[in-house]
Amino acid sequence: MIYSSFEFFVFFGLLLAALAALGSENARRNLLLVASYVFYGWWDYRFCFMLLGITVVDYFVSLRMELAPDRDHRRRWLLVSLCMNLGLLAFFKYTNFLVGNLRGPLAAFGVALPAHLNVILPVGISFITFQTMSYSIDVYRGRLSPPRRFRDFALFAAFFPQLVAGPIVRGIFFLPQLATIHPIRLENLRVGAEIFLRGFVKKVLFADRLSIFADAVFANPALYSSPTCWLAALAYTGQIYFDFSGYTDMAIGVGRCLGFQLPENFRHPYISTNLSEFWQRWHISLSTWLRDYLYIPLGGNRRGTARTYVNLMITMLLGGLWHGASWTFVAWGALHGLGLVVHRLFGRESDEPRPWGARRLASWAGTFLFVVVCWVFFRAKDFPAAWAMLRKMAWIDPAGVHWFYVHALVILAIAAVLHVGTVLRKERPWVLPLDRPTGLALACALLLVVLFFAPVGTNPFIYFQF
Amino acid sequence: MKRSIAPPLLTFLGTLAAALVALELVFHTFLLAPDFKFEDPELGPMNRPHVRVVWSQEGFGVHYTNALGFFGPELRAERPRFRVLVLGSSWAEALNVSPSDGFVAVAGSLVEGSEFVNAAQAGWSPVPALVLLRRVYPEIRPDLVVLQVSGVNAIEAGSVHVERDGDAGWRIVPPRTRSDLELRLKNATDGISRHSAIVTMLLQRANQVLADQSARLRAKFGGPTAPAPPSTGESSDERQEAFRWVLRQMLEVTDHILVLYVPVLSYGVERCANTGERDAAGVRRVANELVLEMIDPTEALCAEYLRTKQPLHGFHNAVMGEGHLNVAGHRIVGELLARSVEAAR
Repeated sequence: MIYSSFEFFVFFGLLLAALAALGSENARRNLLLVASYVFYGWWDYRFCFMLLGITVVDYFVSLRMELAPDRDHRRRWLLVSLCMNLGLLAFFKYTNFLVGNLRGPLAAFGVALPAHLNVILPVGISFITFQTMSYSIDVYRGRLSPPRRFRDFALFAAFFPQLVAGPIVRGIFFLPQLATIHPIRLENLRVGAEIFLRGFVKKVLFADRLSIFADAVFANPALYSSPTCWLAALAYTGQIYFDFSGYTDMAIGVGRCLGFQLPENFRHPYISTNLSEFWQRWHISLSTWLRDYLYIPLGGNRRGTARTYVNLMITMLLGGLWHGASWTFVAWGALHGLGLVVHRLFGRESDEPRPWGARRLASWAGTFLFVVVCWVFFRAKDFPAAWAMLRKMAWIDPAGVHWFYVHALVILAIAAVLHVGTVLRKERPWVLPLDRPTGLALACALLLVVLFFAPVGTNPFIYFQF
Repeated sequence: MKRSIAPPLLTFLGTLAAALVALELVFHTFLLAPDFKFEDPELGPMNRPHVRVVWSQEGFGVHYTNALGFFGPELRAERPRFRVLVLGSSWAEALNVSPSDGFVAVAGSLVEGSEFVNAAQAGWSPVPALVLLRRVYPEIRPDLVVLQVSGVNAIEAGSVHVERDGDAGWRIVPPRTRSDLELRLKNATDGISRHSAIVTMLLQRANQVLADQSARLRAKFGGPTAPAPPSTGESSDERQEAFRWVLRQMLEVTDHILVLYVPVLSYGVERCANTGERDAAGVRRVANELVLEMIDPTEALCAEYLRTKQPLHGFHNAVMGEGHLNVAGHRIVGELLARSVEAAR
């Protein structure tokens, strides 16, 4: 079910009404759990069994870890959880990638592999497995105790607002919230609706509009002129941000309406003045996950300079591969890894940002340009398409169709103004005060504007494929 | 003490009204015209006379309908030396560009002493064009009729179409008559949507969104599908026969007919091709059989594209290379049309 679809609004309206009518927290949680499975099963009910399987195994493993007499036993149980989660991820997401890459070399030895295996990628598998793995690791490390009730753990694993595209919610963030009751409160509904509306506008008005332009140019970059390709790269830069942060806002808003807090996932990443800062602002739940469960266990920066760089590269390569089973994602991760290494090599010692001036502006421009160029690998369907786009952007063969999509220009201009405003406002968020009559009226007018300019059709979120 | 609900409600309504008025002004002026159609019993939805129409979905144009409800100058009281009546669809109507840039206007400006009467309307197949020709011919008395087509679409497109009439041939099926309830609903919404761009937009978008979402849900759950559009046959021969019959009916009204085929092109890096080559061949075959001149601007449009690398279809506010002709495309078609009209004269 997609947040911007008709059926979601019906589903969520009914759910809120039912939750409001229920008097007991137990009943509310049971209903939320059922609703979460309905939400996930709406796409393909068969994968509800997969979700249930992951939940049962991880809960059982965590109980065994809790009871384990020593660290060795705990480690064995942790291995069970990691093997299951990573195995599922590898099977569903990387089987065809592996087959495609092994096909050529194995053919030389007379082993014939099929070109493509019919493996359906379950929506949000990367998010689900990372979430439950973080839970198991935290229990292993003794930072978290398994909840007493299986139902509560199942709700954590399947909580529908963040189930399919994050933010990746850790047990230590979510499970303590289950210690308190979550009745439907007007204040939560108001705040949640405001956050949801912000995400809805980002997704439907901005991202879906930008995708019309970016999709067309990325489909055949050789056809277009260099300025058009640059504009398309910028449009995709805007699209992926508005799409993903829009989804996150909607998830946080829906969660808030239900009385739950979800972690922040974006903090104006495009105002970053270096790559390290970018990763502290972009997809925060993933970058912190990679830091805590991969980079630091690899040794982090505690084992010398060279090893730090190797660890950074490994983390970013795997981070790239997490996004999709394609070498273009690995290249994207590698470029970011290299960027982080270069920043560590030549960056300032101090974490304190410089005041805004020419030098900081130059740092911002360099970082932003690097991020835009990297998105080309992320978006292109393969390397030839990425090279074709980069050739155009490098002004080699600049001729082609000039197309300056007016909607993209307007949206990018609005985005630029909002970002400058964010810097000037010292990152204080823009809030539409729905508790005031004027805010409510403006929200209605905003919905009219959305209705007019949003492309017809329900476009899935980009991160659903991950 | 309990707070009164009146002040916040009034503030809400006042702010909402102010926002709606501001939006209405912006929409009305720059984005979308209020509903400008009425139901014609023979032709279905028709443009009202003397209304301002703003088009911004694809390209941009501000047009005014004339006394006949079409886009172009008023019919001259004094008959010119040479009068051309252009029938067709959105291609000839050219709402996407400014009124003087449409190919009918371009041709009109190039053929001296002529008057081009643009009687095209978006969504029209040759069938409503035939109905209109029969209706306006005695008044307009054109020296030449140009029928713009984009294929042999007489059976399936639009609310007016033709269907087989036994062995005798074909007959025109008038627009579907509305039920009482539909009429009452339409009358209720018409009064507001005729004056408000926002209401028009809301009704249009609500229809689109509902159609899209219900189609998606039907596809998911396999519910009943929408009724198939009126059609008496799917084969290309059937479609050509219907198209031939419509042209024959037109020839009974006037002998002087020119067929203008407007292609949809696919633009590649070093290539340009007509995506409806079969349609073009069908139109050409029927035109040849009836000894009618057919203008096909495909070659000229492709040559221009390969020279300039700029598509002749599409706009900067829509997908470049797709959709309707842009200003450059209209110019080329207009020049070709002018040349053929001069020759026919």
